[in-house]
Parts: sequence; C-alpha cells; structure tokens
Amino acid sequence: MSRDNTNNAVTNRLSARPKRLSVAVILSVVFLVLIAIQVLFPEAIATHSPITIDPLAALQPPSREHWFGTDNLGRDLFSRVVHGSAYSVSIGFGATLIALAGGIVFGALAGFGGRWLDQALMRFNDVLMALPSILLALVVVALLGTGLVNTLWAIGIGLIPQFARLVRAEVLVVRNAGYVESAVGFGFSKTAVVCRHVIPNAIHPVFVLATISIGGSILAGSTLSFLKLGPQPPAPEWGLLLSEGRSVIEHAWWLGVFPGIAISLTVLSVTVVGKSLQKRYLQKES
Amino acid sequence: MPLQSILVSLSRRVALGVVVLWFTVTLTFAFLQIVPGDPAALLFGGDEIPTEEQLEEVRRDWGLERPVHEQYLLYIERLVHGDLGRSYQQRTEVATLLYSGVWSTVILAVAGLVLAVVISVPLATLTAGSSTLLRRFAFVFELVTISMPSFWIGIILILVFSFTLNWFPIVALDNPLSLVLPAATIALGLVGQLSQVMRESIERALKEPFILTARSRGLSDGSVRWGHALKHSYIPAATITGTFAGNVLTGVVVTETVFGRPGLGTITVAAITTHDIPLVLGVVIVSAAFFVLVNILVDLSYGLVDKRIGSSV
Repeated sequence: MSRDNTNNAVTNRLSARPKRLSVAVILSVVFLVLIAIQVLFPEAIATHSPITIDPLAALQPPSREHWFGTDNLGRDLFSRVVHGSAYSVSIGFGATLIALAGGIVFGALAGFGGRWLDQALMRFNDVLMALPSILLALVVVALLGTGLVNTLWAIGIGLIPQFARLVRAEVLVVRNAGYVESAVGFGFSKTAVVCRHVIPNAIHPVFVLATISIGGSILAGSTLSFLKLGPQPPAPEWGLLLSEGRSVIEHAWWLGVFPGIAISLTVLSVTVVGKSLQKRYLQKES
Repeated sequence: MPLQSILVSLSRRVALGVVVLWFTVTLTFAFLQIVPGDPAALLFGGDEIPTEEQLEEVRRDWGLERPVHEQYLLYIERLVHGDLGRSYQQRTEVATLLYSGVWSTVILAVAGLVLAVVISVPLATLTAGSSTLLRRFAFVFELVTISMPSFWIGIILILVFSFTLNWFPIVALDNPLSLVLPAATIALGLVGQLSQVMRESIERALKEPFILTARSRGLSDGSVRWGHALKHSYIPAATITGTFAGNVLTGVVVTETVFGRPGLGTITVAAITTHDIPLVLGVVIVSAAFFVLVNILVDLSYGLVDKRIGSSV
C-alpha cells in the first residue's frame, strides 16, 4: 500500500518536473540576459554615476530618485549594483576559464600520456583535491596581493583538479573509441589526434561542469571581496558593497539587502541553467 | 572485524594524510620561492619598510642565506618540532597567536555543524521519495540557501533577529545567546548540500528489497524511514566531508568577520591584510593538519556504521 504510494509519488514528480523546471530555466535565462546587458551597457541602465559622492544625499532609503537608496557617501546604490555586475561576471568566467585551461592541459596529458604520467598526475590531483580550496585561495591572495586579477587566480587554481579529473575520464572514454584508433592507424601524430579528435569529443560534460562552476566562482569571488581580499574600493563589486554596508546596516538596511539579492539571483540562475544542461546531457547519454 | 585489518587500513589512511600534509607544506614553501622580490621582506610583512637589522633577523630564522634545499629542510625540521615560526608584525610566536583564537572558533564550528545535522536529517528523511508540499518547500529552500553567499545569510539574520526583533545580541560575547546567529549562519550554508546528498541515498535505499521486507512485516512508514533507510545515507553524506569541511572552514572565516567574533578566521583575515606571511602559512598548515585528521576519523567511522567495509579492507 505505502509502497504504491511511493511509486506513484515518484512518477508524479518525474512527470511534473520538466514543466516546472522549464519555467525556472526560462526565468533564469531572462535574468542572465539582463545581467549581460548590465555588463555591456552599464551607463544605459544606471540612473546615476557609481562613484560620484554627494554628502547631502548620504544614507537615504530607497525612493523614486534612488531605487536602492544611497550609501554613507551619498552614492546611488542601484547604479553601483549595475556597475558591479561586470566584476562578478568577470570573476565567474575568468576563474572558470583558468580552471578549464589548466584542467584540459593536465587531463589530456594524463589521459593520453601513458600509464606512468597518468598515475603521477592523478595522485598529485588527489592530494590537491584533498585540500579545501579556500586555503589555496588564501595563500595565493596573501602572496600575490588583492585585486581583481589575483582573485581570478586564487579561485581558478583551486578548481583545476576537478576539471583535470573529468577531462581525463572523458579522454579515456574517447581514446578507446574506434575513430581515434583509426586516426592513429592512419599515421596522424599524437598531437594532431589529441587536438582534432580527443578534445572536441571529450568537451561536452566539461562544459556542463564549467557552467556550474561559474556560479561557484561568483560565490567564492564575492566571499573574498567581502573579506576585503578581492577587488579594492571604490570598485562596486557586490561582495565589497555588502562589506562596506555591514558597518551601517543598523541604520540603513538597504545596504545589506540589495547587493546580496543581486549575488544570490545571479548564482541561482547560473545553477538552474547548469543543472538543466546536466539533466539534458545525461538524458541524451542514456 | 579483525584487528589487523583495522590497523592496515588505519596506517594506509595516516600515510595518505602525511602525504597531503607534506604536500601542503611544500606548496607553501614553493609559493614563497616563486613570489618575486626579497623573501626576507616578504616574510617580514607589513606596510613599512623594514630596517636592515630586522631583515637580518628574518634571514637568520629562515636560513635565507643558505641554498634552497637547506632552507627547505630547515623549514620541514622546524615544523616537525611543532615550531610554526614567528610573526614579525606582532612580534610573537605564530603558535601562541593561533592558540589564542582556537577555542572560540572550535565552539562556533561545532555549534554550526550540530545545527546543520539537526536541520538536515529530518528534512531529508521526511521528504525522501515523496511529493508533498514539504518536499517542494525543501527543494526550493535548498536551492536558495546554496545560492546565497554565507556572509549575506549572516547579514540578513542580523538585520531580522538582532536589529528588528531584538532577540539575539551580537556584541555581548559572554552571553551564550550571541552564539545562536553565527551558528545558524554556518548551518544554513551547509544544510542545502547535506540534505540533498542524504535524500538521494535515502531514496535509493527506499527502493531496496529489504525495505519491502520491512514494510511487509507491518512496519510503519516512519519506522521504515528512520529505522532502516536513514542509516544508508551516512556513508554518502560522510564521503563529501572533503568539500564539507572546506565549507565549514569558509563558513567560520566569513561568519567571524560578519559578526566581529574573535577567532582563527579573524586572525587569518587580519594576517592577510597586514601581509603577515608567517602567520598565514601557520594558519594554512594547521588547518590542513586538522582537515587531514577529520578525514581519517570519518573514514574510520565507516567501519563502525557498515560492518562490511571494516571486514573487506
């Protein structure tokens, strides 16, 4: 009796899910397009300059003039959030690109470089994965200093092992495929086979992981900024906005609310899109 | 479970742990070598230009005038003897500085972890394999908390519960109530991931034949879930300890900063902003050691939960 209920519940959920999910996916894509427009044309959307100080307008609550209110220097919070999107997007994409490049290089080397190299690289990878990535990020920032570019490195390096492991697994699958064997049999060089056959075929699941890790990188980047270890003032990076707002939120709640909504909605949208890509890809696989 | 197999698996895990630690130490040493500029000035840190005497002191402590491999051996030797070096900015031993913050941080982390488990276990157990309203709520709740940066969760909790409702103080450190919001901040950062992993494995367990057997014996749905299926979620949940412990660590650093609590997190952030490199390296090495220890303990606990694992190793 109760088992039937469970089964019904499972089928119901499965049939109900795609519909519900697709609404979420559409909303997420729309939101991400909005973010992209903000990144490309911040001046067209922002209502004020993000850096002009106006002491007379300090700490004003949200109003028709200042949609998200103003900070303690009288800067318009809405315009700062709009201009800040470029930082989060560059951190998300930049760190992921670093991880992607590193992962492809190490993964392809391990997957195609023979047994000894494979073992050596993968044990190295296991050890790196056993360390929390925040430790690595903190060491990188401590030694290289703060700033946007160093933030990219601090986050990107820590993500490389995940990508390397996935690329290697994919390479091993593709490597044993018939067409690679024939290419080798035709006498193409190893490099040519890797670049023209193995990497293009192994890359699909890697892009799914990349989408998901864009969200993770945005979160990690905003965390470093919040700790004042990322981009420096007066950059309107969202984590930094919250960090600056933290000391005055008792009198100005809006400074602690709107930038956080921006971060969370962006990460949420990227996650929803990434998960749906993952689901679609897995369905195609099976 | 034979004693010998426990010892073998234990020594294997300890060996792996030692490798991870050695690697961390070597990595920090390699970073020091790569960064351009005078290593003595880098290690001295701070924003002021150090005097020649001060630099000389650093060079003596780290053996900087010697060849690289001797510096490396000196570094390892010092660490093996438990000497984490000196902070030139604060003119104290790194170990003393870390010890001053460790208790406050451990209390916070443990409180956050316990709260996360207390929330996740019922959430996952009650909603596994069902399509109730609660399940839908849990799905949205997990997705949202995963997408929120934990420092923002902390800010929202402060805004709502301290400033608006006045329920919890955040400045009075001797008041135990001041622990509630920081612990909740850490817990909410962990709940999403933890309950998703647990629910997945409970759902898998619910499809197993022994569940059907249990049901046919007339057990209620509740005792099937809590008495039989829940157990199966322990190992998958514990396997993510790696990322999980990393999240706890991030949570602690961020939460201490948001709430202005003293502890290892605030010490670390301050050390990075003042370029106090010996202190940063000390924090990293101690956290890595702690992290390795936790992983070994978790691996050992598998054998206690699942007898098959203990005897097969």
